[in-house]
Amino acid sequence: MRALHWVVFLSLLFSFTKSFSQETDSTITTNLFELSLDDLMNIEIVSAVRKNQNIIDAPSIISVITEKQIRERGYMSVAEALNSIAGVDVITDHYQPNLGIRGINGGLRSWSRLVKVMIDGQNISFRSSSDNYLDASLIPIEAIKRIEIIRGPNSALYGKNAFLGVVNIITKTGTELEKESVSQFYANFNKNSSYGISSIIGGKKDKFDFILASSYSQINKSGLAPKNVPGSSIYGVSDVSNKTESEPLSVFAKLTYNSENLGKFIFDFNHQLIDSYVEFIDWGTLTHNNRLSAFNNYERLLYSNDLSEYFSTVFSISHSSGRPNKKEVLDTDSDPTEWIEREYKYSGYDLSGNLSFNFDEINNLSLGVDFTSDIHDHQKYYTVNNSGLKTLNPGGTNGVRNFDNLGIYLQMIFNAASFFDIEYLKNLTLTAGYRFDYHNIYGDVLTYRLAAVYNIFENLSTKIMYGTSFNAPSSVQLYTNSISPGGIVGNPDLKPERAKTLEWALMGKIIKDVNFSTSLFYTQIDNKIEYLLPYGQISNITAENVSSISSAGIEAELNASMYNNTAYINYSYQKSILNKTDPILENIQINTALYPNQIIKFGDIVHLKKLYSNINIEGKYISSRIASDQNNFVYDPINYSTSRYELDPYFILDLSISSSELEIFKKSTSRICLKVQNLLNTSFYYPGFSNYDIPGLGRTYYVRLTQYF
Amino acid sequence: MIKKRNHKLYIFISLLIVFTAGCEELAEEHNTPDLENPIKIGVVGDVSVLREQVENIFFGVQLASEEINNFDGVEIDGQYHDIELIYENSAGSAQEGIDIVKKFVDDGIKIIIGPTFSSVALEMAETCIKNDVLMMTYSATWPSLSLLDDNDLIWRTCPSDYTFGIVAAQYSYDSLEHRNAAILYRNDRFGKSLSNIIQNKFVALGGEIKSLVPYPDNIVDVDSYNFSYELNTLFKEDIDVVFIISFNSEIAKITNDIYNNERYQDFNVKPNIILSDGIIPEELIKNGNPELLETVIGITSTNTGNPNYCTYKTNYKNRFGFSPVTYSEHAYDALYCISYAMQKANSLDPNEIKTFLREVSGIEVPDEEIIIDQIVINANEFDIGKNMLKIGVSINYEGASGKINFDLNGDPIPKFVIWGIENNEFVELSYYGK
Repeated sequence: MRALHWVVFLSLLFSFTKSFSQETDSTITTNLFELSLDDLMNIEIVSAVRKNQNIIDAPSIISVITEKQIRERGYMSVAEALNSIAGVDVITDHYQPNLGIRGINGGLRSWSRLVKVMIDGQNISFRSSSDNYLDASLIPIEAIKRIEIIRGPNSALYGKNAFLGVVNIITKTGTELEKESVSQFYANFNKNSSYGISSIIGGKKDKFDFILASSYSQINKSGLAPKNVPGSSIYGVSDVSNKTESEPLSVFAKLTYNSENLGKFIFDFNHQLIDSYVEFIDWGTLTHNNRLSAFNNYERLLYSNDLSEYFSTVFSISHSSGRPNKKEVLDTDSDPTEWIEREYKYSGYDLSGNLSFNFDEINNLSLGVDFTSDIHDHQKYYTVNNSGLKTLNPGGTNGVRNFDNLGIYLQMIFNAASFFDIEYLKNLTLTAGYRFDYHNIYGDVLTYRLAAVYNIFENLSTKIMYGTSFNAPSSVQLYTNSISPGGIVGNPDLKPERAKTLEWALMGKIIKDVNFSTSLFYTQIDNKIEYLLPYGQISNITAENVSSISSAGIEAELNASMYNNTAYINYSYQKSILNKTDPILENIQINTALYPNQIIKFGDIVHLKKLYSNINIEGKYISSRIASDQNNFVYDPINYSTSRYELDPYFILDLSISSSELEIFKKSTSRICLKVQNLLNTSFYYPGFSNYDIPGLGRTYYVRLTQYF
Repeated sequence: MIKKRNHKLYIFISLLIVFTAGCEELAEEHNTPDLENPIKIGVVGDVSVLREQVENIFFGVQLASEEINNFDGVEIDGQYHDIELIYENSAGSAQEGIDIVKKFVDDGIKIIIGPTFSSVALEMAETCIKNDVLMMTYSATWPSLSLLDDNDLIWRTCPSDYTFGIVAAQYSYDSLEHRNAAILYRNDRFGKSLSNIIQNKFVALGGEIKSLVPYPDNIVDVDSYNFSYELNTLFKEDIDVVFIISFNSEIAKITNDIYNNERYQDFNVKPNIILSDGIIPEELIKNGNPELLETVIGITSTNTGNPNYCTYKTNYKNRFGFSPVTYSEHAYDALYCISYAMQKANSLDPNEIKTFLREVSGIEVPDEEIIIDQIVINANEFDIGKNMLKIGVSINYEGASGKINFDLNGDPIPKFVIWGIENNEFVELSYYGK
């Protein structure tokens, strides 16, 4: 309830901010949010090279989800929005979404670790585990201007964890904020009520611009039943979740001071409260008493200035922190007299600087340096009983340790025809990036990338890219002790996972109002970190760099806008092979688990102007996928490396109807959105990691009311 | 213009070639060993119940088969036969074990190594006897297996619980001077039988069993099980020692629950904890409650000081990357004993093989160490052993578990190491047997 008070308090700030927001240029913002399909293809993005570029010119395979799409499709979280993108597969354990990309999923206790998630370029992962919490606790959805998703490596620019992709959430400014608003939603699943409230305020006055957004919700998904591994009967009909509740809270604020003489100063901060009962966690299924709750925050001061016609510079300093909330209780059994407490925290300091020399609009040379110092108090589990006895669980490493990383990168964007009289190369732009990281725990890492973008026509380009990337082992993977005997313990010898990716893309507009993007990729991952089933004398699960993965695939996207319809369809096919050592069979190559071979996603928004409303239909077809190693051991304890079961394919259809802005109250407008998720009430399951697979949500109803001021 | 178009076409075709070539590599590939005239031998374990331990046991048999096959396998009537192992999971279920035997018989497999549990072994044994199948278990320790009317078809390479129970009770009473004991045991055949033996011996020596507490043998997830009910009963009276008869996978959780038990904390002098065979010290050191470690005493049939065990351990570690666990050496020895007996019999018929098992494993003669005209064959010396047998020389296979010397019941000569933990290190305290 304290969280709710926060949101209400923030909403009351309206009265204070009214005068502040009067200078908002509504013409600009309206235009921005009503982008046509053409505009969408030419929208400027920043994530590919840390510089504004058009999507078709950017040396990356990049997709964008705009504020308008988020609003019209009724997305409630970043995870939901990302799940509409080609080459991305989001599964969940009803604690946090777990984003897989291009045929690879992080697996057991990985919550979207394979990609780097940022807010306006600031790393937002929970640094103890490097997980990215993509649910509603990440950022209030109203604060998002667009989400840029790069599929492919980007460590040469962003360093560690920009491994298989980058998600950069670009937030609105006060100037861009069309209207201040308060939203409420009510949802119903399995006769469980959920509700939430969110608000956004902001505006511009003189040289100051600010935005403040907050969201809080109480979501109840109880009544879900795990599905037994084929051939087993551990869970019966009465085994259903009765506490699948979560209370995500998020606050985001940004204050900008822009002076022609001094440059631009931005102070922003983000607060996440990840708070959820977990019923489908590998170490304590349906105990009805597991509550994971943690804070994750950052505060940042960013300064940018165009020093001259050619030179521009950006500096930033930030502080991040994360720790468990006092509400957290972990329980591996149903005995209330004994439970587990977790101690860990991190405090991170980032310092970065970038100097760019812009020869012209295209050609650019950038040099950047960043230093990160994360102070990790390693994750430790204690067993506590109701008489107050608290004992440290076995394994792991005690104490506090600094994770220091120094990164230096150099990037050049080069169009030869700009410097030399080479007419036939005028449409070819090359990008080269090189980065050196030194880390005090796992040592040096070099990454680089090379890209060539060729503009075939004005709105059609082809790209070829090659890059390397790495995923650093987290403090938890390196040093945690076990939650219970035989549980996961850290491995201090872990090395970073490494990837090499070759990509090719063709994208642009083929006919009026229809644009497309198609890409091929081949990725080779080495030193892949796997949670091994225990062998040898100790029964603990440990993470080790034991395997490699080869993955290839194709992604195709088509967007069209005609006859009051805005539609998209995308298809991805991926095949990934895991090379690992089996004790009996020795070296084997098998299909990777957890990720489907084929995914089709589509959506269509019908704009019914006369009825002041939009109808949105979205569908997803997910082909079958191989179950987790842990479950396949239950399925075939003898040949589980090669004899594996698959989860059934499924098709999900969502429907939403949203109104245009209606003038229900004087001097203000309102918007109503009705959404039915899983309209066909399809029964489907996500991969689980502990003798069962995790049920997906059945038909769920949402009503969302937004009041604009 | 033509040149430009060609240029683009070449790039496009090149990319497609690279992509197609990349995808070509992306196919599943499993190693299937190329075996010559394979002799199929069934290997059965309760792997879904005790995964880590049983897999390690399987790896022990696998190592033995690879070593034997490296020397061209067994030679029968001048023809070389590689060993092919067919692994099956009996899942802790007697019925599952019986079904596996029937399936093996249908597939023409007449030799079985396993299973893990006594409760499964007893039922499987009856089916094996009916079908003339030779069965040799590596870890079923229930004494009744020795007394079966088995037509000499049922064997084991691990010592019987009868000797184990006697040793445990005697060491506790005589060496540690315990007088008041409690027993916590798995409520299955193995637990009931061993607890009875310990109880009878401890009482016969003059001690008193204050409580005898079973715990369920069907716990799906031991980490989710709380032993407080059992422990409250176990610790209701003052005791000097607790005998715990459990599986390795359960012991860490039990020790943690013991430490968190209020009655245990009330003891001024904490009782010793004596563990059953099969508990791995490294597991206890890693996952057991650290406060209890120095009160723990284990008894194991694995003799790590034996040179043959050292050879086995080194080879095992080189092959699989980790160290073997208790009983894996017994499984390794089982395949060697059967293979030597097969070679000696020059036959694949179980009824022929069984008649040579005692001879190839060394015959125990009272007041003599070994029969003099037998050549001792150590671990991983199959070429020597095979050649000796081919020229008619008797051999005495001394395996990874030491001397085997099968007795008339098909049991090996018993030998135990009594161990403890000091400063988080495994230490050997005493020995029993040869």
